[in-house]
Amino acid sequence: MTVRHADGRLVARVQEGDLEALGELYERYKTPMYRTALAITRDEKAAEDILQEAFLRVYAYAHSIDKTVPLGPWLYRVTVNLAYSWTRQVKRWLHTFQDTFDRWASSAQWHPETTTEEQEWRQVLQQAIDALSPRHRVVITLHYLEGLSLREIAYVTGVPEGTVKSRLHYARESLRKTILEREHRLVPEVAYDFT
Amino acid sequence: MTSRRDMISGNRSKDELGALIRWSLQETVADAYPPPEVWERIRARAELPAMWRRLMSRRGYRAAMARLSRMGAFLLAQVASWIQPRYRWEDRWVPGRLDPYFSSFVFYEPGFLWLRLAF
Repeated sequence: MTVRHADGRLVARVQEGDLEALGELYERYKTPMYRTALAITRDEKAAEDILQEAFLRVYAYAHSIDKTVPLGPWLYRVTVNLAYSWTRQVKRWLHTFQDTFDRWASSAQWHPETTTEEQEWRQVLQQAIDALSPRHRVVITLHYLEGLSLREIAYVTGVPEGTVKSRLHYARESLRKTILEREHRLVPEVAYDFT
Repeated sequence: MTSRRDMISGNRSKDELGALIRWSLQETVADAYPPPEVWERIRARAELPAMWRRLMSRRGYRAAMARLSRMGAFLLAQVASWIQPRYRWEDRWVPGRLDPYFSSFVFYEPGFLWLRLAF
């Protein structure tokens, strides 16, 4: 088996029990994995736990990881599955309430350059994304935050590409509706010509 | 921090809705980084023997509890078959009724113990 990329070489070292190699993989992937988990769960502690569990699985199941392909998609798959499990276990409404409260509590003084309109937009969009079901939120997060293609998302989520496409379409339509509703509430001179 | 207008104007010719969603997601997690103690926890757990590592994970804990429960049920069945009274009835041995107090002690107490351990 020919290992052509750095991930494969590191995985091969992890297979031999090398923790330094696991550390290098962690440094390489920790931020995108953590942000993906955070975007799906909206909970920092859960995102930390998911990141930890994902890399422990790399270590535990290193012997079954394909060294000839990059580790990223496999890690995304584990992260998304763990995030799914978390969202199933946690009472969603409780966290949505907590999150909304946190956003109210964070005032503009933390980001003085942020205008009220920007904050409102972000809040509206984030609430709309939070309101999506986990499987739609996962697709939106992977596509727009991580820039994964439909095929890559299909691999990560374990569903056919057509299903990913339809989930993305549904999520976009749902968000479009929310944005249009918000546009109608704005006064004309502030309204942004969204199409 | 990128403003919404900057983000959208850069993608005006393409997909404005997508640009807006991307901007919102990026703004939400832009300053999010995992704390250093996460790696320390991973390292500490990875250095544990495989058996303890599996046991410490939630799934491993459940699997261990399920195995213990099965083992407990097996042992209880053995004990029950041993202590259960039998009576001679028409040339064969038939199981009799257990004393209600004793049977509740033998079956329910360990049962509650397993339940408490499992959850």
